[in-house]
Amino acid sequence: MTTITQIRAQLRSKPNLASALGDFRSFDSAATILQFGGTLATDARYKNLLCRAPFPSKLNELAAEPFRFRVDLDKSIAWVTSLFVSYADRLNEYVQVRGAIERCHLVGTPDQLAGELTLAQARLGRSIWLVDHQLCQTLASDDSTLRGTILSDVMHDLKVPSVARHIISWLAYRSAPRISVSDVDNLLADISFPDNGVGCLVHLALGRAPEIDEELATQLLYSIDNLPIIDQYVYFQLTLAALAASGAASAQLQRSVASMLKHLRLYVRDSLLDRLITAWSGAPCMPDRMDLGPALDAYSAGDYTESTRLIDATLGAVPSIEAVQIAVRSAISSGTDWSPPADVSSDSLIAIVAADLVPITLFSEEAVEARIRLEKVALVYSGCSWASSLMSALLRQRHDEKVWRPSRLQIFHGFRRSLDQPLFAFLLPDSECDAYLQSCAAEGFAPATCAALLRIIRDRGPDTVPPWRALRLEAYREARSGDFARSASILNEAIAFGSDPAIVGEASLLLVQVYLASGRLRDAVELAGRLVVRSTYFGLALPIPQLVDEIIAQHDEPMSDPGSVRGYLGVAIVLDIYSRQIGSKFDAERSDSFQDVLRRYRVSRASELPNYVGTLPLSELTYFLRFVCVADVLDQSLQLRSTKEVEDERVSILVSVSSMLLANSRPVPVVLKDEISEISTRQVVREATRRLDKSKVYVNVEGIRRGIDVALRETWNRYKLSTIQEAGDLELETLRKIVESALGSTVQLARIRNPLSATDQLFHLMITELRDQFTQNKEFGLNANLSTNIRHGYVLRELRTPLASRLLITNKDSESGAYQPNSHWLDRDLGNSDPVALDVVFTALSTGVDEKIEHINRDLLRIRSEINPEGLFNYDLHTQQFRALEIQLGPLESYEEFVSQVIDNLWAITERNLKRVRDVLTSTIQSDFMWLISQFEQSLYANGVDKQAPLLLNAVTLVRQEVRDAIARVADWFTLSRSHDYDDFALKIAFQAGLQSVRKYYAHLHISETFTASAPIVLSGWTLPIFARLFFLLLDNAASHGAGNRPALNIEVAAEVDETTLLLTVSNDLDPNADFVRLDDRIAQINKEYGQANAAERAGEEGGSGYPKVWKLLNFDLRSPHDLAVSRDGYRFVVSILMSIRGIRT
Amino acid sequence: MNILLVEDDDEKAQDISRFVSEHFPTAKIEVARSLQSGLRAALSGTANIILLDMTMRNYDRTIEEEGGRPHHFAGREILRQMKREDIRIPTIVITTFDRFGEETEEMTLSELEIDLRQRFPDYLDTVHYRANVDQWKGRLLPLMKSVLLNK
Repeated sequence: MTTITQIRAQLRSKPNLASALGDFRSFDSAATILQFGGTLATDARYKNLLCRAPFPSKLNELAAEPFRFRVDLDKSIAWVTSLFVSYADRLNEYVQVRGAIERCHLVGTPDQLAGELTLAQARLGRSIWLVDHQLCQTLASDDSTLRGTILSDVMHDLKVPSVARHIISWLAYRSAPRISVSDVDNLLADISFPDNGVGCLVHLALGRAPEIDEELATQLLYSIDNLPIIDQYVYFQLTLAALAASGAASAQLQRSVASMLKHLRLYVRDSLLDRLITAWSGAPCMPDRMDLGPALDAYSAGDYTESTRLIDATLGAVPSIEAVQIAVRSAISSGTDWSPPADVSSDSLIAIVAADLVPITLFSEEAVEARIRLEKVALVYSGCSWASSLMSALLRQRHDEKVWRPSRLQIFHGFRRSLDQPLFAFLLPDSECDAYLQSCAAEGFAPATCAALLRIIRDRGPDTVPPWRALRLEAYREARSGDFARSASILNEAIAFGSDPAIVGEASLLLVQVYLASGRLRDAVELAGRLVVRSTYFGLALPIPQLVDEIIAQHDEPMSDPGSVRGYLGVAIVLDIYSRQIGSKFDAERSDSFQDVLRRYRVSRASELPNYVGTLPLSELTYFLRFVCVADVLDQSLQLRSTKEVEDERVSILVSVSSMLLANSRPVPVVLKDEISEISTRQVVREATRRLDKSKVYVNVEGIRRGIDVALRETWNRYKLSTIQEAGDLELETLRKIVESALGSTVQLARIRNPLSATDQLFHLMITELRDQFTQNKEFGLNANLSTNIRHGYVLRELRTPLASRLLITNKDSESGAYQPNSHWLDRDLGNSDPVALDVVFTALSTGVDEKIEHINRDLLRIRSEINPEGLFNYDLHTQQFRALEIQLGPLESYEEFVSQVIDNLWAITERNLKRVRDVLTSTIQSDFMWLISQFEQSLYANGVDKQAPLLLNAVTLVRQEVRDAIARVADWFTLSRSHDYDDFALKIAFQAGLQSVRKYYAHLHISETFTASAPIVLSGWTLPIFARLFFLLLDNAASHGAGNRPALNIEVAAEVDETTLLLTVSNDLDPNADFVRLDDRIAQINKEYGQANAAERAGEEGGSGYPKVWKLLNFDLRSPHDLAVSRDGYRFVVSILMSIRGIRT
Repeated sequence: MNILLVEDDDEKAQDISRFVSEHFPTAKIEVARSLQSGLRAALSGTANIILLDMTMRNYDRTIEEEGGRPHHFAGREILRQMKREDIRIPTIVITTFDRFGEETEEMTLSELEIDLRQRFPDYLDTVHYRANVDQWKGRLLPLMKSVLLNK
């Protein structure tokens, strides 16, 4: 028999001690390692090489790397077991401290918790386990500074073993505020795979139960070899729990591990070890005690007063999730409320958990949020055994291990629970379940409960169980044995006659599972649909993924097939809840199910379904119409051919649902009305925007008429007098006749006219004046409107937006004037490209696009003149055209008629000009843009961008059509609107119309907005274009100047109104890093210049702040006396406009 | 012979139509410009072959209609609906992209081809289109001939 002396001699005989110790751990038998490993590890001569710092005061005292040889699993387990035995006293201390800390998390004060943690550090040193609890402590005390310090100490110290830092980084992430369970799971799925030791370690630390085999378990134990003893003990237990839950251990390993665990249990008194021994040995290892036995028995017997009393008496001292569950269920069953006893604070975590368990147990709507909260609690406190108790409770509701084979996760958490209970039996194989329950009963642990539970596995048990519970146990037994028909029959009976909402909910849930297991898909789906309609929480509790799998399996089968579930409301509801709560994978099938329902009931539109309210159940039909028939589903109907038709149908559906509910004396949710209102507003805004786009080309003829009336009327009178006088002087016809008579032969008159006679000059003057006023009048003319409505920002934004949204072009830097580098793409892997060369390519596109837009604005969309020879608005009149006009208009008698006809002619010229603009835009300009994009694409290829950068190439492809569409939209602005009549409108509509354009042009910016009005403000329809453009100018300013480099902008609009005035205040938040000195200077300048003499001049120019445009809109188009002031209020930029609304408010 | 071209890019649609007309001068080419109009035309069952784009908007885009939501796999959706409604028409996917979808749905062209081949018996093949390279023509023509000249 080997002795320690021999082992030491063996070690001494080898030249290299580290290598000798490696040989010992690698090649000696597991039994030898178990016997002597701990002795060596605690021997001062070897300690430094084997377990340098078992209880370190700092984590940087640990060995940087684990033991350098990987050995067989049974030897690894033998090694750590031997270590644990050697440090048994400290581990027993740990078990005590662990209990105290976990208790403090549930019911203690922050000070108590801090005290326990300090004590733990003093006794057991630093460990990942301790850091984890300290992180949880910072949550309870809301101390982010402490959290930072804790993390900084560990994460910035590179001497701390990397595995420790890695695990702690995950623990910190999962306990960070605002990180959800799905965030953690998604990140785990993305970057931490449980296919290696460290990956598995992370999953275990977070309370996940990866499927592991002996190889992974070996890697796991290897990974923790250099960690503190406490952590080795924690992860050793988790590894064995996960391996047992995976069912992947060989029989030999099972025997070996069971033996070693029993050996360890002799030294370490830990109930978690008892459960592991039971699992690994196949024989019950009873705990020393079961605290909740009497309360459980009282509950099982239906004595809820007693069960609650027993819980209340002990909860403060021995808090547990299991106890809270019994109390909550007792209260529900007895129809009372329960709150924790006086010695448990209502702010304590256990009180919060208890409050959330109530809706979950009742399957009520609030349970959706409650479950999300509790799952987060279980994740954050995954280092606590009670978190496993909580997870067990949540998992059981979905998948009751008393009926169905437990999942790996259930088994894993079952091993880790904080309290022993008879229910543990159902995590064991069938053969061991019976034995465990009998052993429990024999030990006196909740004997009545054990007896009741035995009824599930064999048909016998005490009569002390209430009849309805006996019925339920029988249903469990039948389902467990595979007699689903009998089980379904019993469950239906239990549901029909049950009064306890928790029991009825559980029975219903089980019934769906039983239907599913027995192939009764239609029954399963219809019941699931009913339950989801009752509470969407059932969506989280029901086996929705399995139901959906079954639905999808027969999704394409003909509806006429017997047994087909196509066209039933339940299918659509189940697919809908899948979409809402799980994912979008089957959204297309959800749309199919919507169409199948219509087909089954032979209607073409969902809004016709309320006619079937007698045939279809009201609640399910209401759910279907409200939640399934939404825009993203309706738009798949071939009956609805546009966004507007979809919206109209949605409104019809909502109106029908409201009527249906009213007719059945059901309350109509306010949200229905809100949604109708929202859709209506959207449609009005869209229609208004569309019409405004069509009325950008505009001349205020009345304004021009008023402005030139006196002077031009005078010219007209002079002209008419002149023509009469000319006619008097030249009675040529009479003269000709006299000459002809005298000569006796025919006389031909040859008219020779001076082209610039006084009469002609007057006529030319009037036409030219009217033309120039029509085109160039600074307040009312075409150029001013082209400037305000088209050139100022609109063309630029419309044509730039597709390219900017695809992040292909950048803006100029305000300081240097150079284009910003396109970091979105340049920071990515773009194949074998040179970033410097690519920067040039991106800059060339930005430059080309902006130059092209500048050309359109500066040269093309202009009134043709000597200064703008390329202007597409050509109003030049040649001599012959003047003559023709004089022949046409000269004989007119009245001034008004003359002016009207000249204006009509100018409109006719405008029509021709507009056509020219449209043609140039959709031909030359479109070609130019396509050429720019093609050049860009070719340059990308030439510079090494290849298929490695599909997103960039996709963006280039997509942007082509988007630019073509944008050009088509711009071209469409160049039409004359036939109607300028708008319905009276609420001021908010104008705001929304302006905002819609800004949102479209600044797609990258998240704009949040509020609009408040002191009273309803409805204005005359003719002012809609003015107010919509006013809002666009103000909001465009906010977005372009106020957002800075931020991704978000907040806009607040307040309108205060009285009989005659409107005070409009538009404010936006500012980038805190903005140059406020410069901004304040600019504010002073705007206030100084606003409405001054040169404002009209500047209204015809583009660029800048746009305030001259605001002045033009309000002063000339609206003709409203007003004051405008801009200011800065801290981090907000404010524009205040006080204006008269006399005569325009209706 | 009826050819249904489902394509929302005007230039690409013109390019393909021109090429198809050159080689099948008697063919009647119907162009649909969105998922909806493509689906409607496909389900009518009158086409002898379908040339199908993959990424499209829900509706045809006009000045009044912005096109509804974009569908990364609109072409696949049309194939799926055809299968469900038992409409059997040989289909060639013509796409410019090498990668489709976003986040969890993202897949490469090769992955998409495998998916289409596995799920849809009437899917023939995929032709990769580039406006300034004629390679796609050499791929498309034999595929179309294999269907249209065997009829």
